[in-house]
Amino acid sequence: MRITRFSAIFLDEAMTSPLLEIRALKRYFPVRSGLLHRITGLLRAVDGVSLEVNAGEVIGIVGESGCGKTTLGKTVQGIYRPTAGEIFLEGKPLSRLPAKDLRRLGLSLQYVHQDPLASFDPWWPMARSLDEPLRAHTDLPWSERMERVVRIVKAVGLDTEHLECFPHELSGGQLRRLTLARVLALNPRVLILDEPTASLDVSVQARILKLLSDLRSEFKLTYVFISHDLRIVRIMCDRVAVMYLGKVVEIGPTEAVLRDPRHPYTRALLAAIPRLSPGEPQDENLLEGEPPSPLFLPQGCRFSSRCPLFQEGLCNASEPALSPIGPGHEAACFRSAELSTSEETVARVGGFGLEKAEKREGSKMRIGESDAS
Amino acid sequence: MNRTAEESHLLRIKNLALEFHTERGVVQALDGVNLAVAKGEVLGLVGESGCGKTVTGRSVLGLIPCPPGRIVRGEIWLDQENLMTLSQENLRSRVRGSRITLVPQDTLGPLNPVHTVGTQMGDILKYKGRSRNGRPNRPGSDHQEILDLLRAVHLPDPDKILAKYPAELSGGQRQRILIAMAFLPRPELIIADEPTTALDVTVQAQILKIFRDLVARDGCSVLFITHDMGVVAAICDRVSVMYAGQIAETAPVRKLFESPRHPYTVKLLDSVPSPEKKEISQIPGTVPTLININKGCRFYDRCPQRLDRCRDHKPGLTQADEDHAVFCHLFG
Ligand SMILES: Nc1ncnc2c1ncn2[C@@H]1O[C@H](COP(=O)(O)OP(=O)(O)OP(=O)(O)O)[C@@H](O)[C@H]1O
Ligand SMILES: Nc1ncnc2c1ncn2[C@@H]1O[C@H](COP(=O)(O)OP(=O)(O)OP(=O)(O)O)[C@@H](O)[C@H]1O
Ligand code: SF4
Ligand SMILES: [Mg+2]
Ligand SMILES: [Mg+2]
Repeated sequence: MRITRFSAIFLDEAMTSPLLEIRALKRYFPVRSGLLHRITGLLRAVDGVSLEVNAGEVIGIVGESGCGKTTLGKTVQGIYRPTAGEIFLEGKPLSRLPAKDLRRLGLSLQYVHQDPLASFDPWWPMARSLDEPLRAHTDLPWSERMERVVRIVKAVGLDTEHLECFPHELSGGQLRRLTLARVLALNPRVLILDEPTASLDVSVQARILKLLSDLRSEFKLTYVFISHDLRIVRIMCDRVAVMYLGKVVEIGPTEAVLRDPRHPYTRALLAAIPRLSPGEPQDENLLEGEPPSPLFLPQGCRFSSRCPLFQEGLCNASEPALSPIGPGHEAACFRSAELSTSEETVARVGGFGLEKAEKREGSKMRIGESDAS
Repeated sequence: MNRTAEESHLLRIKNLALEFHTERGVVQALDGVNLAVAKGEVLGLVGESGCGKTVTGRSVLGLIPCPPGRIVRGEIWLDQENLMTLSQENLRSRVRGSRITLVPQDTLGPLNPVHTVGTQMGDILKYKGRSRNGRPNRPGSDHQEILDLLRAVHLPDPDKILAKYPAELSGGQRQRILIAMAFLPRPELIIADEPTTALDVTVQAQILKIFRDLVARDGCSVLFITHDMGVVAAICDRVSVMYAGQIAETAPVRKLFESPRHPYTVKLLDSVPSPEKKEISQIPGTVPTLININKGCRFYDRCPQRLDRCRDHKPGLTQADEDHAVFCHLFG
């Protein structure tokens, strides 16, 4: 199986501590209202997330829109200051590092924006936008920088011609790929990818995923892969964390979580994957109830306001903590034991067939070996 | 398509050709595009990244910047009106944002960063909603209508959302705001450009349902741009497949899925992941850059079934069936 094959490459490298560790991370935003815009509440976008990410691992973050995935990514990268909690990279706490070390370490941790337009200067041609971080952070001469940029731009399926374009001259998918190319050119070790394939057609998607897999096995890259597409998560990720209202409600090896989801919310996510059947009514067995508000969390379990398994007196009495279910598999639900395995969910997620693309493209998609030095 | 059917169409794009004149050369972004959307119909527009879906939608709204853009040929009709003959001023006051609205692909750019969501939505009703279908404008009803729509697109705490600035919202929240804004003036046509890409499957399913409901309620038409065949299956009545600035095939969704004719459509459907199929085939090669593109069929370089004449001769329209149009030499 693909996933185990990837993991096997890195098993021999018995890491003593995880490459990236997130401990009880919180990020709250003040909520203002009224004419005077007074602070009237706190929005708990990320509300106590702990994660350990090993070198060479790909961990998926999935969850409903607004559950805090981007905020988590941006807080880890340092774009937002944490409200509480700590982030360790290579065992070093990022908040207590001297500026110089932080800059060096920070460079190896990169965040790829969800909004492609947000990451480019509208007045610069792409060549300049892609070159700028390299110029600022490396000693490479111009010719070598350009060589690297061109190689990566080709690897994401674009042409040197696109380097002469300004952001507004490019299509949505082209911009998204250039956002990724810009960050890849910096040779980071940990990449936080925020919806890297949203709005790409399957063909380009397959190409990007293939590239990410190649880069990973070549340079032992580590990915935090934020996505709402479970089909892609299944191919790309060794482990997956399911977030709901700022918290991780289920985490475990991807196959285990998708084959045997033990949180009702994970169940609901799997049930909502659209199928290729025109005319036939889609599964309307969707999440019921009011959409959740991160301002007024329900009593007890966060999911209790929409949960089909809700049990009075149990679920609203206290908040369930993550508790072990299987090897590396944890869920935060009082009734998780009652959720039995369902083959149907796996069938729904399906495969994505990267193997085939791999065979055909062979080694063509590699980024030049010289980058390893 | 017979005449009467054609006239019942709300939007008709005829033989549209669009160029961008850049320092690099002339980008032939669209070449002979024909599309028609009937009243109350959802037409899907699918195709690979960079094939011209967005610029097609923006052409209808007169949002192509000239220069560098130039519409060299074609007509765009909305009901009885040729939009190409309208001035920018007329387009802005009478069509854009009122009769036709857009759900843009990019979710950050179109929202004004210095105004709250509430202000921006209120402005739509204030400036665009007046003329709409003779709907009476009761005081206080605007606010209620906005809240109802926000609830319909499944945004939590609608009144809190209204007080927020765009940067304070998540990607998916902004996308749903933009969808709500497009429905707000009750337009005749909505051009929805990849409106669900930032949404997870649970919300996506709900949003698609809202599209269906609102289309049924208001009887409006939708040009639904997407790359996701699952979404096409869920919402569209008919679908047009686009390749490198040309339409390859147009058919009712079921027909297209069950008997695709154009070799590109076949490849495109092959590459869709599905539960039964554990693998996808990537379409070999990439979309050609649209500068100095060959005169004939633009799929020529990647087509497994190409004929000699495909290279230099542009394929014309073939009716594979009454409602099934193909642009390919294999059929004509
Ligand atoms: N202002 C412009 N100047 C020059 N070229 C442009 C301009 N706008 C668009 N293009 C080119 O036109 C082509 C079509 O772009 P368009 O945005 O319509 O693609 P798309 O089908 O929407 O793709 P995606 O799925 O990636 O959003 C692209 O190759 C793009 O580079
Ligand atoms: N700068 C900010 N100020 C105030 N609130 C914010 C800010 N950024 C995000 N939020 C709020 O925090 C919550 C989580 O947002 P976040 O962007 O992390 O969601 P997400 O999981 O990435 O969602 P999506 O899938 O839609 O991108 C949302 O309710 C959002 O409105
Ligand atoms: S703890 Fe109770 S409410 Fe929460 S997910 Fe489990 S069953 Fe549902
Ligand atoms: Mg996000
Ligand atoms: Mg587009």
